[in-house]
Amino acid sequence: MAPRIFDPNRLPTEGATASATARRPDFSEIRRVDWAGYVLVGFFTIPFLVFNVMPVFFGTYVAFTEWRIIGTPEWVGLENFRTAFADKWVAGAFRNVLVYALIIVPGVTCLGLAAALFVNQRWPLATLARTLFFAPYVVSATVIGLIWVWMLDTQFGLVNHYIGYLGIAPIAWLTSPEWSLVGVSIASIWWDMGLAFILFLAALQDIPKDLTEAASVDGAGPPERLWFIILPMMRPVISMVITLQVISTMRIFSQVYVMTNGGPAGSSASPIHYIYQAAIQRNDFGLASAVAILLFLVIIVVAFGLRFVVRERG
Amino acid sequence: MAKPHHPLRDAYDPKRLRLAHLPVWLFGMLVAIVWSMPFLWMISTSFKLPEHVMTEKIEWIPRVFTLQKCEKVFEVPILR
Repeated sequence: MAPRIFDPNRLPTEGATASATARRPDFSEIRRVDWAGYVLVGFFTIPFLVFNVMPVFFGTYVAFTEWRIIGTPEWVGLENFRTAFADKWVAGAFRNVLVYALIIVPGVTCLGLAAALFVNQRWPLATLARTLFFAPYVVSATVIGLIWVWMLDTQFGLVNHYIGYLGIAPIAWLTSPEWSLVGVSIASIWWDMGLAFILFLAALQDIPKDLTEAASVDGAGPPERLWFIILPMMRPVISMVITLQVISTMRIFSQVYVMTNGGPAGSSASPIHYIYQAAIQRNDFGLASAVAILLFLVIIVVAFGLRFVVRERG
Repeated sequence: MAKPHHPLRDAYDPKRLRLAHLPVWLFGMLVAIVWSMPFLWMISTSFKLPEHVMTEKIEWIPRVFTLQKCEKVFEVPILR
């Protein structure tokens, strides 16, 4: 057996082959199964399969049945989907979520971008501004809903009080069918902007200084630098933020549930809110699952469609 | 120690607030403060008496400062 200690007089190749054959046992006949690896992966995989994957398949099955938790699911075919398509509340909820997306997604993206650009200037108190802009994101949606119910109160709310100074008559933010959706959207923008803001700020800090400096040597002012350097460099992040925001907005629930409970007259209801009511309040799990599958399909179509609209590369 | 004056570095020294940027800075900080108002309002209200919560006029400073509700938080068994 070759000595394992390093011998400077031996040729490197010679030593390498010699020690390699000496040290390594022959693996060709033994097939070792690394059980420890499977056990460690299992800690995640088994709960994931049981609590995430299985419910998805079970929910798909339930969508084709009549089931009220007790008893066995009874196969009804496409009946639940027919009910869902005929239900005007379902149509209303899907229309509402479209309006939510049209208000919340541009709001969050534009405000987040503006806030990130402002904080990135590193002017005095920028860290304070950064904290203030990000703070709402750490609070749970329920608390956000409760704060805003009270901020948007028609008579005693802070918002109506201050817009009164601008000469605007009090608006029934959460109690009128015209405004309830806007009221919930304001709270959602306030809550969701934190994440978009932090992602944008990180992207801004990743832009190489050389590029912006080179541009200003060439005579580009701030608007040109923003349009031709900063925004193109941030394109992947902007695309990602928009996609994530669209998906999370389509699943909006907590704010709606806490602030308006879908009302008045279903004017702020979202699909998840409908699903919740169908399943938990009316015990119609078949219909709820059918609507959930419809929402899933809509989200998939929208998410894939968005990949063509807001592309990551130019 | 002051750095030598240079037009490019001046344009590119981001930490310095120049007079021309003052309005933008003021506006941005104002927005940041307005952005945190729901929080401040929540904190201010947590020290108010229940009868002073809903008032015609907006009162940022509680009329009567009370820790009554803070004590109540610890009466319910949240820390168990």
